[in-house]
Amino acid sequence: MTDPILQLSDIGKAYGPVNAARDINLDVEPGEFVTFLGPSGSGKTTTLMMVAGFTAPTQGNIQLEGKPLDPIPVWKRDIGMVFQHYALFPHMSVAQNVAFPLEMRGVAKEDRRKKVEEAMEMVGLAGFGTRLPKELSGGQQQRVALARAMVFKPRLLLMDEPLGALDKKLREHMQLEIMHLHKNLGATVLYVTHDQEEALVMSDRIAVFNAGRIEQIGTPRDLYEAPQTKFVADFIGETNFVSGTVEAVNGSVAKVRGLDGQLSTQLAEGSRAVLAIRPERLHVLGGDASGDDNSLTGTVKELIYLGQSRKAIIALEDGTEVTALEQAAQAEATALEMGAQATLGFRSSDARILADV
Amino acid sequence: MFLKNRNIWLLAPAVLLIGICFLFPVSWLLQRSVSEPVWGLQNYITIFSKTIYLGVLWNTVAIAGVTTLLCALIGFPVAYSMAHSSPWIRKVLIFSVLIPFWTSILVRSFAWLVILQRGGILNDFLAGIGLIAEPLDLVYNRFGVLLGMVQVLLPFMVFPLFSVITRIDGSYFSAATNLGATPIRAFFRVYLPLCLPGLATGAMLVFIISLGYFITPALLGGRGDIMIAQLIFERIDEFGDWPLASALAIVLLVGTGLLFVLVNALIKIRGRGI
Ligand SMILES: Nc1ncnc2c1ncn2[C@@H]1O[C@H](COP(=O)(O)OP(=O)(O)OP(=O)(O)O)[C@@H](O)[C@H]1O
Ligand SMILES: [Mg+2]
Repeated sequence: MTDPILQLSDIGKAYGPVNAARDINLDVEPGEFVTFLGPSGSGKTTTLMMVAGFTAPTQGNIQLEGKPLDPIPVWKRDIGMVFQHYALFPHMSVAQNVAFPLEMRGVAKEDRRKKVEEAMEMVGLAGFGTRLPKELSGGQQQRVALARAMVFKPRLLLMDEPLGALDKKLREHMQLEIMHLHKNLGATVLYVTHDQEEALVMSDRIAVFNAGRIEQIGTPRDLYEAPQTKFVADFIGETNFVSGTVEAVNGSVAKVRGLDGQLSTQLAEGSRAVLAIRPERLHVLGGDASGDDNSLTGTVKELIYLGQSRKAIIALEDGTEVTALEQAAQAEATALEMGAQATLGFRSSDARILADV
Repeated sequence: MFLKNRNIWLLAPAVLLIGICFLFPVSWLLQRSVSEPVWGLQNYITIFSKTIYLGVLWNTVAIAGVTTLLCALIGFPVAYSMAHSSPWIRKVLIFSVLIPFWTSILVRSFAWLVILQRGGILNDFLAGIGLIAEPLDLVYNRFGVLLGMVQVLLPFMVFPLFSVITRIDGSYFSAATNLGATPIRAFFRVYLPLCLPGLATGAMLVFIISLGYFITPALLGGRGDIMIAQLIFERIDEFGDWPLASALAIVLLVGTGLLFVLVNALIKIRGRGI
């Protein structure tokens, strides 16, 4: 394991009585792609701005390459940033925009021209140099912003919802492009989004923000398969929750409402908890239910045909609705009828027991 | 936007007003300036060959130019603070910039006299606290003229600037510093160019209004600060010299018009980038 390039130690930012961010701890490896994911107002931008130097932390400290970042002003940090609305200078041509950081660093004219050309080529915009930003499409402007933030080989690249202004198709295309650039250049990236799919696709690791704090940090797989809190389970992907109290704790397994599941964190018997289970882990019994050691019964409320899969919404006796998602072939084998009784099964190893807050 | 043809009569009052109050007198002036005492350009030749007239033309341009510059230097921070302060402070600032508009220009100019003349409030005060032995000449000279004009014309600079500055997104400046520009460089390379349309509009307004200024230089200036409007007045009032006065008026009009066209063209070229 290499030394982390960026270390956030207990940082926080308070605006008067409001904690925009607090107790943020994060180590970023060189070349890593780390995403801040969370709902609006959860402190993602605030944290990014503290790294960039636009706001000073009111707590904790930040180290870049082992040196405290605190005393270094924004313009000396050597951290590239892509702003949400790109912030391309409207009075300068595309080439002048990309050359700007080089010019500020006193790079000689000839060298500058060459580097700008390389950067423009890298983002697939060779030959667009003489245009003004407003003469480019949204996606092209986005690329110019990327080229400008990368051309000076910053130690760290920050992006605050860089794809927020683009339509879905272009977004998906740009996600791949940014990933390729990241791989090819080996840049270290901090990326902000509130789109969980985008986060899952792009990131090496994701930090899930909630109310100014990081709820959980992990690989996309960790977060999806082993959420540590109800918030994370709910925010990433779709999840069914069955609420009750913790019973029969035995090592890392316990029961909620008689259903077995894995304990992610220590929970005392009798405390309020939910059992979380993903829709694709619920099987309609009658089909292939081998290995299922838990079952739920209820009434079929809704059957939704999705082409390659089927979604069944089942109301349990207490009214809790759970969703089961099955592949088309599986669904055909277990015909369901609206209003009829159905039994669902799942493996206890697929279920998580999380504190209910 | 174009009016539909059948609504064109809505323009009639404006056309009539401009025709009667502007085009007619101006053509009359133009005609007098080239027809008396005989047909020809003799009045214009006089203006552009005699040192006293050239001196007045130069005064006019110089005073208008310096007034514009001072208004820009003073107006920029005011407009900037207005755009970046809380609503309450903004109201106070707008109010203080507008106050001069609510008093007659005569009253204001006389007020400056009371404050600035040799036996005036300011000189008395400075002498009283022992800062000066002899009263300072603060009025009846270029200083007095500029002070009076800047005070009156400042709003014409502040408001166009304010309207442009409020629309400049703060992220441009942040982006510039993030990319390695010190705040000073970010200001000159990124922020100021984005303010240029407002600065150009304000400068043009102040300069053009200054060119035709009369009361303030007449009351607060000395013999060396005569501007073209005063000269026109003097030619008519003292000498009944309508032909030369007409020619001067036409020179002022054409000069202003040319400037207007020039600045507009410049803004268009730059505007490509804004
Ligand atoms: N300058 C400020 N003064 C006071 N409160 C602020 C300031 N900036 C941010 N906040 C507050 O801090 C909290 C976090 O804001 P932040 O911008 O970091 O959220 P975010 O996670 O980036 O949200 P979004 O997804 O909407 O961009 C919010 O509640 C916000 O109102
Ligand atoms: Mg944000």
